[in-house]
Amino acid sequence: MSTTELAVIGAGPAGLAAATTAAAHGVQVTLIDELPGPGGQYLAPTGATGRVHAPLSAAEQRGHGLVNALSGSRIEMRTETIVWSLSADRRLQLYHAGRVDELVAQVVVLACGAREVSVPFPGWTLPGVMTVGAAQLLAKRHGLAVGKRVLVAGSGPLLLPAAERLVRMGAKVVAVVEAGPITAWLRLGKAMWGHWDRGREGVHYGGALLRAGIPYRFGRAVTAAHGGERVESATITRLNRAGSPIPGSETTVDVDTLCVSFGLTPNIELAQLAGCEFAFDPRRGGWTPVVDDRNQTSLAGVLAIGDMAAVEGAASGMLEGRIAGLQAAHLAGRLPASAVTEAIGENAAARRRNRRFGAALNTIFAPPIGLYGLAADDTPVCRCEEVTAGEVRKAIAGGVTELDGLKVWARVGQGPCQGRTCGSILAQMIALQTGRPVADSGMFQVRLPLKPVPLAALAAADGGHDVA
Amino acid sequence: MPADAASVTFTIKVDGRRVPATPGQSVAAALLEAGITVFRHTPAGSPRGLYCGMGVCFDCLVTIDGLADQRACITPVRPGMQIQLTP
Repeated sequence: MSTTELAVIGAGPAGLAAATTAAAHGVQVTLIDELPGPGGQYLAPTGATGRVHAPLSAAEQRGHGLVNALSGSRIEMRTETIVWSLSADRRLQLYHAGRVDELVAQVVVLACGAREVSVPFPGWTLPGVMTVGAAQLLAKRHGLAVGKRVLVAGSGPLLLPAAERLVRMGAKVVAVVEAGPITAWLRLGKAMWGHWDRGREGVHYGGALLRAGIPYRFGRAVTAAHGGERVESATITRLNRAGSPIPGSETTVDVDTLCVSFGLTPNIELAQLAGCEFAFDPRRGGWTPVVDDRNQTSLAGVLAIGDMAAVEGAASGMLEGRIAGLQAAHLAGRLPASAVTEAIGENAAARRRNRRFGAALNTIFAPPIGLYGLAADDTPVCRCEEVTAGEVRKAIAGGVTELDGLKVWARVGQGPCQGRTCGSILAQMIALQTGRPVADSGMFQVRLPLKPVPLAALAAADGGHDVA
Repeated sequence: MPADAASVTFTIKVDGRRVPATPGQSVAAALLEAGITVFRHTPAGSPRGLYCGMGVCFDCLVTIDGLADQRACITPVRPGMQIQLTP
């Protein structure tokens, strides 16, 4: 067992900002991430490959500045480390290199980021079908273009930079297929007033696609991927206003890779396990821990920041991280409360702007509910346990309308991902079938260990942790 | 752009076959760069590869140095590493 004043979980932009800010005020900081280096998904640590991608946006440049600040600081960075348990009294159970270890912290800042929302359709489990995030990471971190003929599909602004990067890396992007109507972009444009940096980025990516002659198709979705051992073609279908496919409007294109993205939803499992109070808010990206203006959760000494508190992007995460870092310094007795209050006041307008922008992104481009009818009855919905849409629909029709009920009756969410991928899908499928609000189906209850830890490591641990 | 020859500094073994790897690369990136897209088959026989790419979905599971069910997407390659794919 070891102790620390502040444990920051997640070394993405938000966590880096919190860690460096607190450390600058003399706080002892332990920064933990399961990746091999700091930066998170957004800054994509290049590791020893040294392949740095370009060009960097203003937010990325600031983020890389934080990564560089780490090396000159006294922050203890624990990489390739899984936090598989967190209790309300801030005891963290860690796993690294075959061993488990306990860390007790005075303050915990959760900065676990977000994951991609998935929409199942026939063929979505075929190799070569991957999230836009996976393609971006392979490009940014490893200099690897995921395919030669690529279709980029889904909803929201993440499609644009991914397509642009693939083109820049020499891939043939067949088309970008957006489920939303063209008016979605006009609505987003309005919400982006004041976000000039993001606006410029969007124009840059859009211009690049236009010059490369890549068609950008609105009101359509990929409704099936076809292939034997990997994706070979994809069917694109026009959607009605509810997001259901219009029969007879199908076209099929040959591709070797299909990149999909339907927005982001927070990684909340650690906050759930610790017992934080939660609320469902589509503007924040779904279920999030309830936080106050200094990002404190309902648990004393546990803060939640960045995309895991509300999906708003890296710039917002870094700002929240800075304030959480100050609050952590205050809780550790290194800073008067007035210093935190002052920082909150100075940044109030910027935070309101970030909140508005995040809310616009998360609602305007939320996948239309009709898309959750795309899965055929034999399409797996839970990728881990291979539970099909048909089995799930049968359970819902039988009156099982909560996620935890489906877990028992249909075996969903019982695999190694613990429902991280199928949870949001199932909630939408229940809402589609019953007509009830998405929040009514609740959250999957989390279980220990949060991510698989070899039994041998648990057994070898001193005292033996109680893993029920 | 694939790894250029100068930056390839070691090899790993995938089902006994030698595959070039670059320090800092993930196992998934090394597999994909070698043209391997099917990482495993499920008990029902369905092929799976890289999906989320960020350690969330547990679909890219491979056996690494005898340890089953390791996520290829977030595990960095190391010299001498032995990868087994599930046929």
